[in-house]
Amino acid sequence: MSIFRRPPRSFVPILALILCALSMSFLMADQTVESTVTEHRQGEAALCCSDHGTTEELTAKPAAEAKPWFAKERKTVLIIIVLLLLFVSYFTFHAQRKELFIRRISGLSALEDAVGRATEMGRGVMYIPGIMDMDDIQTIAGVTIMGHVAKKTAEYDAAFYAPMTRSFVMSVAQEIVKQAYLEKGRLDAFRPDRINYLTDDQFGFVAGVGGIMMREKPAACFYLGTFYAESLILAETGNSVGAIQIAGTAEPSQIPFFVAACDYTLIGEELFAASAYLSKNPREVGSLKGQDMLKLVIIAVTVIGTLLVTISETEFGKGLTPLTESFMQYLK
Amino acid sequence: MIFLKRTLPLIITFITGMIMIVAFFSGEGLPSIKSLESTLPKWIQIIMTFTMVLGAFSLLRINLQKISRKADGWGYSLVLIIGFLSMAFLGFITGSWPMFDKPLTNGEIYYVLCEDNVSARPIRVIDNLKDKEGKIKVEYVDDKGEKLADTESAMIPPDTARTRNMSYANSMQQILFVGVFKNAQSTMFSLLAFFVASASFRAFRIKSKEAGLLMGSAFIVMLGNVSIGSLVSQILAYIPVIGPYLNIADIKEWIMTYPSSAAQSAILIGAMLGYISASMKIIFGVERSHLGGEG
Repeated sequence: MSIFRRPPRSFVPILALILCALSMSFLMADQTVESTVTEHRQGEAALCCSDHGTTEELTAKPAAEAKPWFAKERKTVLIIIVLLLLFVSYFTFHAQRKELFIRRISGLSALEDAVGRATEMGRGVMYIPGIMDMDDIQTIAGVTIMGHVAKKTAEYDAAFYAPMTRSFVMSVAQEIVKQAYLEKGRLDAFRPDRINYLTDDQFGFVAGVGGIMMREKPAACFYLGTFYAESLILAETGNSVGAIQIAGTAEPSQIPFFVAACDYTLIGEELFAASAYLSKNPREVGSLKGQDMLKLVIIAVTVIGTLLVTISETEFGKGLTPLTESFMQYLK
Repeated sequence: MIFLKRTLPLIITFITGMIMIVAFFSGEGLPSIKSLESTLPKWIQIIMTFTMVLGAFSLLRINLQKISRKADGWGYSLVLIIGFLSMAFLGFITGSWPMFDKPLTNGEIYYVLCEDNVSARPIRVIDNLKDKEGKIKVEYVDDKGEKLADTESAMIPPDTARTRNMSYANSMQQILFVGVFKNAQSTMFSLLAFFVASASFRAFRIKSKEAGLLMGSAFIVMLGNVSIGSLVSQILAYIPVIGPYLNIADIKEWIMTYPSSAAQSAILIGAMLGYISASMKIIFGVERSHLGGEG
């Protein structure tokens, strides 16, 4: 049991061993299947040879149809991931030596003010981490920010309401909020019954949250996660009770609704940047910078592609057509 | 305890994440790894199903506490508990009715659900042997068991025929589900129309240049979607020089195809990079806030 008491770094060789063992078992399983299939085909070929010609023709078939180990159609994704990993590793290393600049995100800067306002008004704070389950990355981003908001509510002694649409998210959220209150030394103020499950149904959930809003009249509402048609109903109900509202989602179809109805909106990637912005953890800030660098690469590729396609369409750029076609082909 | 709460989840996340990455990039030459791409999400569904018990327990506990303390609005909690239990009971009974019902016998009268999904219609089983499609032969009868004159025999799936008591339970369940739940759901959804109007009113108040631009483009898009837009285009066509270019439908189409979709693509690219980056941070254990405590 002694290894379990060491820091997680000591697990690296063990993890590597587990992964190697898993990979080997999968490879061996696949090779066994492949050899069985080949033997089966050879057997079939031997049976058929008297009627349909020689066995050479038929046994040569499996070799010619050797299946690839790598999904070539996903090579672009792999390149993007490898590039991202390289950028993130470099900037994470860089961030530990020198502080990196992150632009101001108004919605996140207003987070503390919103909780402070709720405290001054003697009202609560409501937090909704989207309507999807924990397998959605936006929900994870939502519950991560929830930890930061919960720390503020613990600090200011404001009531914290978080109705949930998924029971799994509820149990994770309860744990995160409890930890936040524990860190601030306010475990006595933690109320698990305020982080409760309502229903899995989308509009049933909206009705439940609307009811809580009208009864408790929170002074600050946070909607950070995945939202669909309920986004506007929630935001408008929050507005009707006079709450300051901060929303964030990566769903492009819902962003306009939040922009229209909320005071601050985190658009797309800002939701994922929130954790780094709030914690100022060098490792997270470095990953943010790496992400920005990859975005720069994507912008460069987009501009080059647009220019190539535009020029090759003109009379002067006929010679560039093969280059453009191969460029476009590679991007696919 | 810290091992179970922090280290073990990190190990499981790392191993599962790496397996999924490998499965995503593996080709047809590695079928057992490739198959994990579709198998592991099924595991997630199974785990999520177990967590439903947690949710149901939380819901019942909180509302029962409210009722026992006679807290403000405890009547709503009572309605919730009654609805929860009755729906669960009826759903369980009707969903697993073959466990309680006897096998279908020839000549006996059973009931099938009508198209309105609420009322039931009596039938008599003529032949309880299933055909190739797994259906049995029945005839429609009246409440007294007399064959209806203007109807012919029909083939129905045997699991749709129920005894009288089961048919009552089924109708009751359908009344609650279709009659109450679905309608309440539609009511909530229809609220969206009113909220769109009130949110638009606030968003379109011209307080800055950006709000003015938003108002202008929204006005054109709205006008382009209604028939009066073409009339406006015809009137605008009388303006010398630029008139023929002021076709509202064309301008709307341009706004939707270029500025709008370009902005959406930019948001999507950023969000996708955020997705990948956040996933990497979670897999490699850089981001741990979701496990509770400091990240």
